[in-house]
Formats: sequence, C-alpha cells, structure tokens
Amino acid sequence: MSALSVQDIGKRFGATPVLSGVSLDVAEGEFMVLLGPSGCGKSTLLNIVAGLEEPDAGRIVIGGRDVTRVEPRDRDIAMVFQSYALYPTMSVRRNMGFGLRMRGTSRGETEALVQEAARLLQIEPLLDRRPSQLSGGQRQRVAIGRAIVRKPAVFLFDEPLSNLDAKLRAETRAELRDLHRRLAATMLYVTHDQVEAMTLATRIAVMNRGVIEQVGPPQEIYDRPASLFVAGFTGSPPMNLISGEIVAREGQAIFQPDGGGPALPLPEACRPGKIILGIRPEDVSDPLSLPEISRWIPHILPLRMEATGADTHVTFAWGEARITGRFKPAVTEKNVVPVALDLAKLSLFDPATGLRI
Amino acid sequence: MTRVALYAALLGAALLFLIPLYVVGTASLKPLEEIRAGGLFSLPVAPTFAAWAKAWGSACVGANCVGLKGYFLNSWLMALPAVAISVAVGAINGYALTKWWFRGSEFLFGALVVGCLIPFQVILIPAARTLATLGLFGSLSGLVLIHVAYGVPVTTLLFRNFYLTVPDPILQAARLDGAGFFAAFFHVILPLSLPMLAVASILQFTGIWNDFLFGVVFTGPESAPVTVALNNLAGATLGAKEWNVNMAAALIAALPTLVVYFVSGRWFLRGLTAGAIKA
Repeated sequence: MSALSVQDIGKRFGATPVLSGVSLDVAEGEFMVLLGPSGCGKSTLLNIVAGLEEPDAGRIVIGGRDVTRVEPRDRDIAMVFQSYALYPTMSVRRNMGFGLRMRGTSRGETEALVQEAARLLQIEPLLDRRPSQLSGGQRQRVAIGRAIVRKPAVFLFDEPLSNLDAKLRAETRAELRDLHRRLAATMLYVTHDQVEAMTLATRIAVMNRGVIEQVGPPQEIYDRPASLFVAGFTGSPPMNLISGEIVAREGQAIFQPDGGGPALPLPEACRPGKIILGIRPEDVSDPLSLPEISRWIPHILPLRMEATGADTHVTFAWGEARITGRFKPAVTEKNVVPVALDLAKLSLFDPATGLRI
Repeated sequence: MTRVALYAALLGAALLFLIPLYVVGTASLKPLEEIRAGGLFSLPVAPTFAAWAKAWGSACVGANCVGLKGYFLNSWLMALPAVAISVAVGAINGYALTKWWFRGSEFLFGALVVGCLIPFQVILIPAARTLATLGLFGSLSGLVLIHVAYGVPVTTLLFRNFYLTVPDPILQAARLDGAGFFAAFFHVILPLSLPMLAVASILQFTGIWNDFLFGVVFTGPESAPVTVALNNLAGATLGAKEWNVNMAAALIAALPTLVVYFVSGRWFLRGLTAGAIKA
C-alpha cells in the first residue's frame, strides 16, 4: 500500500486549468520530488495534498484513508514552507511545540519531543530565541524541526531551500538526505531545481503545464527522458535536441539534420521520417573520451567555447542545429574536431507528439 | 540658515496651537474678578482650584447643580466598553476577511467600507428607531451600541489592511499544526497585532470620548456623557457667566484624551508605520 496516493486530481483557477488528471503514488519511506518550472502546478498539487486548497476532481489518499474532504489538521501531515512561516511572536521552543499543544499533548511530553527534535537538528541552543533573532539557515532548521516533532505520516516540502545562499543550500540538501534516511519517512518535495531533485529523490515526477510527464528514479529521468520537455528541463547544460530526418540508405538508417551538415548513421534500424534526436552534452566529446561504439562526425564547426574549470563546453553548428559537447579543459580551436557521439546514449523523439520513441 | 528658519516656523506653529490651551488653562485658575479685570494672556495673580472644584462637584448642568463628576463617570462607562467591543470585533472581522476567504467576503468588505463613508447625520433617525425598538433609547447601553456599530467599519478596515501584511503561510502553518479559526487568531495573529490594537484603541477612544452628537441625541438627562454635560453647563443662562468654571469644565472633559495621547503617542506612531512582519 502506498503512503500517499494522488488520484486523478483536477483543478482550475477560473477558466485556467492548473492540474489535469494528475495521479501519483508515493511509497512508504520514499522521497518523491515534484520537479517542474514555475507555474507548472506543482505547488498547487502540494497544497491540495496538504488540504490548503480543494481539488475540483479526484481523490487524495493518505495511509489508505481518503482525506480529500478532511481538514489539514486531521491528515497526519506536516509541511515546510518556502518562507519558513514561523510564528514571529513565539520562541523557537513554542514554535516547535505548537502543533503538539494544539493536539492536546501534555506540556511535559511536548517539551521532551521538542528537545529530541532539537537535538537531532542541533538547534538546542536556539530554543529560547525568537525567529527574528535567527539567520536564514537557522530558521530553515526550526521550520524542519516544527515538522518532524509531530512524526507525521507524510512530510511536505515547498521549495524549502530556495531562500538560502548556494553554499548553505548544498549543506542543507545533504542534511535533508540524511534526515530522510534516519527518519525513514515518506516525503513529497516540490522544487524547480533539477540538482535538488537529482540529489534528493528516490523518484522524480516531472511536471509541465499541470500534467506529470514522467515518473522515475533520477538516473532513468536523466538517461531516458520520456518527452522533449523532460529532456530539455533536466541536465545542465540541457540535452541537445536536433531536428532532422531519418532516411534509409542501403539497409541502414541515416540521420540527416535539418539545414544540411554531416549525416549520422544510426546503430539500429529506424522508421524513416521526421525525428528529433537528443543527446546529453557529456555524450558529445573527443573520440578518446567516449566508448568505442561512438561515431565520429568529421566536418562540424566549433562556434563557442566555455571553460567551466572541470571541463570545457564547446558548441558546434550541425546543420541548422546547435550542439554542445563536454571536452577536457585542454581542448583548443585547433584540435576540437573530429567530434564523437556516444550512440548508445541517443534518445529519439517524435516531433509531432514530443514523446520518446 | 534653513535650519533656523525651519525651527522658527515649527515653533511658531506650535505656539499658535498652544495659545488657546494656555488661555483656557490660566483662566481656569483665576478668580472671576481677575478674568473680568485682567488681560486674556496674563498669568493668574492668585491661582486657585476653586473653579475646578465647582466644575467637578457643584456647577449647574442645565437645571441640576451637581457638577460634571457623574457625567464624567458616564463617559468612562460608555467609552471603555464601546472601545473594547469595536476594536475586538474589528480585529476578528479583519482576520476573517483576509485569512479565511469565503464566498461573499469581498462584497461584505465593500459594504463595510460604505459604512465608513456614511455621515453621522444620515443614520440618526433610523438608529433612534432601532434603539427604541430594542428598549435601549436614552440609556448608556444604547449609546455603546451606536458607537460600536459606527466604529466597527473603521476598525475592520484598519485591521484588514494590517493583516494583509501578515504572510498567509503563517496561518496555513497554524492550520496544519491543528489550530482552528479562534485558536489561530488568539495564539498566532493577535500577538502580532499589538501595535494595531493600540492605534485602533486610541482612535476609537478619542472619537467616542469626544463625540457630542450621538450623546445628545441618544441619552437622557441622567445618562448624558461629559461632552453633553459640558455643553449644558456652559450654556446655562442663569446669572453671570462663570468663565473660570467653564474653562475648568472644558479641561476636565478634555483631559482623558490628552492623557491617552501623551501616554500612548509613541505606540500610535509605531502602529501607523507598522508594516510587513518578518517571520
């Protein structure tokens, strides 16, 4: 039985559909990340799971119980907000204990549970401070503390790291992963940051325009994106997408990019026709860095080189498309060609539907 | 140079506004003969509180020569509950309108704003009829009810605008933590509202204490507030005008609002400038 089940949820604001037929199952102990650009409906979905917004259609089931019409307080969930949403007039101790006190837990037991959570998050010295006396990172910890102190069935996170600076974000990310392992808790986490999604998730659900386009483990999302949107949204720089046509020549499928440019023989038979070919930048490199089955493209032109330190991104013109590859930092304009593609990592998409073939 | 001019202008303005208070204050301490003989601005030669004592305890208010003290008490008995109720209701209204959206809440708010704009005079007769029906006409409770009804739109508007600056996730967090409408209000929202409670209370207190029109229309001879009694005291036509007693009476009637302002002026300014709340 899944810990959380979102079933066929629909929601519109006025005439604008925000979510259409969204279904998602989160298993017990799973860290599920909802990944998508702003406005894709992921926060609305989270609010619906929390009970802060009502869906127009569908059901929310938590721990086998239909909670679609149940008040937020009775859903056995806790939420960490992007803005932390701590109670400004209460001490950290009271902030963390408030939910327990509201549920009738005794003063003594509340105090013990707050202490336990504070120890876990190493915020014991802060217990008597007000939120205004805390730094951003400390407020974040208190907000997490307020959620875990109640030991809910499901944790909800609404972009909890987006107000932190880059260094603190990386640290907190690692701690969240740690916390998830230690609590073995079910988590639903909303973010637009693919690095967060890749590092935290046991599974990712990629959302676009109110629809879930793909659900799967991070590596699968990355290696085998189910749609053009997923391919373009994940990875940095994102997957190269080259439109062209497949033609059959002497029994072999050949990819011909739009606007001319060198043709690429494909390893497997493919139906001829219009197609979009996708390949990750790390699978475009010099021949020595790639596996043997890779194929050289002899005559394409480097347009731009961008050194990032660890490697250098080189962008080429291939037909009318632009394709970016990752090279060793030693690469120069002179020795950059030929370029090789790792053909085992190709993704092919139907240009009409945007779906993987 | 500009600084000197600035201070001169400010000082001049302050003096201009203080002159009447000075005249009233000194006159209340002079014996009657001194007022008749002396200049308006001269200091009292033989200062005495006799006029204050008379205004408080024995001056004639209309036909009853009982002084202001009973009416002064009336004003407190009216102002305290009226302020407390209108501020409390305004706070809950503002909270409900901003944090618990419901069908028709925008319309209700619009109706309340119209309530702020209606002049006193328009509601006098309907209000009198309503009080009569309720059996409250001529009593202090009736006056309290009128002040509450007339004050709630203003306090609601104040609190609504204040609560708009309180981030919604704070209240959503409270709901997830298990707090209902009133629990969230008392534990989370109200403690944030101290500056606005001060502002609304001061505004309401000065307005209600200084009110004359509702007092004169809706109360009887026994239940009149001090403003109405002051008018009757100063307007008594029998005998010579006792200017010193009138001045002392005016000061007695004005004193509470002055004190409230001096004590809480700091809060008042803080509340007016209170803005976004950092969580």
